[in-house]
Amino acid sequence: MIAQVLAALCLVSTGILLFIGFRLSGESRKNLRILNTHRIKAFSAIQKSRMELLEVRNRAKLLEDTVSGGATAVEKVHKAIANTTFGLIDMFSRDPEFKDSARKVQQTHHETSEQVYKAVRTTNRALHILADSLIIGKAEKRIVSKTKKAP
Amino acid sequence: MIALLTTSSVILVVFSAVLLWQLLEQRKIIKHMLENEGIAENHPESELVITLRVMDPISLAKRESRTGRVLADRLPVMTRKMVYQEVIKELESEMEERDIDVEMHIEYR
Repeated sequence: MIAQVLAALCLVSTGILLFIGFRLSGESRKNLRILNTHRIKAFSAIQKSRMELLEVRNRAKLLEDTVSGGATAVEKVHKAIANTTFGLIDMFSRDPEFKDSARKVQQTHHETSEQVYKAVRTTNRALHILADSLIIGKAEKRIVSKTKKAP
Repeated sequence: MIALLTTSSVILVVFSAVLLWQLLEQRKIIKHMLENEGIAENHPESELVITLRVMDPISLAKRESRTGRVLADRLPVMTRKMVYQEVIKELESEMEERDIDVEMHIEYR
């Protein structure tokens, strides 16, 4: 008789414990969902700043490429115009001394213009590197520190 | 037979108690995590949301727009964002036509 009562008591207790456990697991699941949503939101803010930074870097690279390409194109046009002018002088001039000095001027002009365009490209690249390390690098560090602080 | 039944019942009670204890510990950890995140206890009920991901936004941009073809390789981040903005615009107009009130925004993952 005692054994039967004990068995019945144990079964009832098991039922109660399992019911409480079921309720607890439901509550935990709900809290985990809230936590997950919160984490997704927090991560979204970090990812947004990361992508914006990447975008700034891409724009800076595009600007650098545009300036560099533009300088090369202008240099080519400049050279073509200069070559035509000096070619015409060479063609129509009858004085050999004048022709010689015109050739010298052409050579100097080419050298100088090459140096100028090279300087433009170098300055452009230097500005890009400077901006990258000063502005973008700093912002990147800020994001990294934010990510480290986030649990 | 009764002895076997009693023993099984006792084992079941012990097993359930251990299970409950584990669940209580789990709840403690989750509460601690919620506190760390600064989430109040009376948080509003969870809601269902739809997430939409364009699988290949770059090739979509190249296929659908001339500007996209030019910009996609040089400014991929901007192109992706523009694709998503366009998708949102189209979905919103579609929903408006069917009188469905929705709220859409871009999330970064």
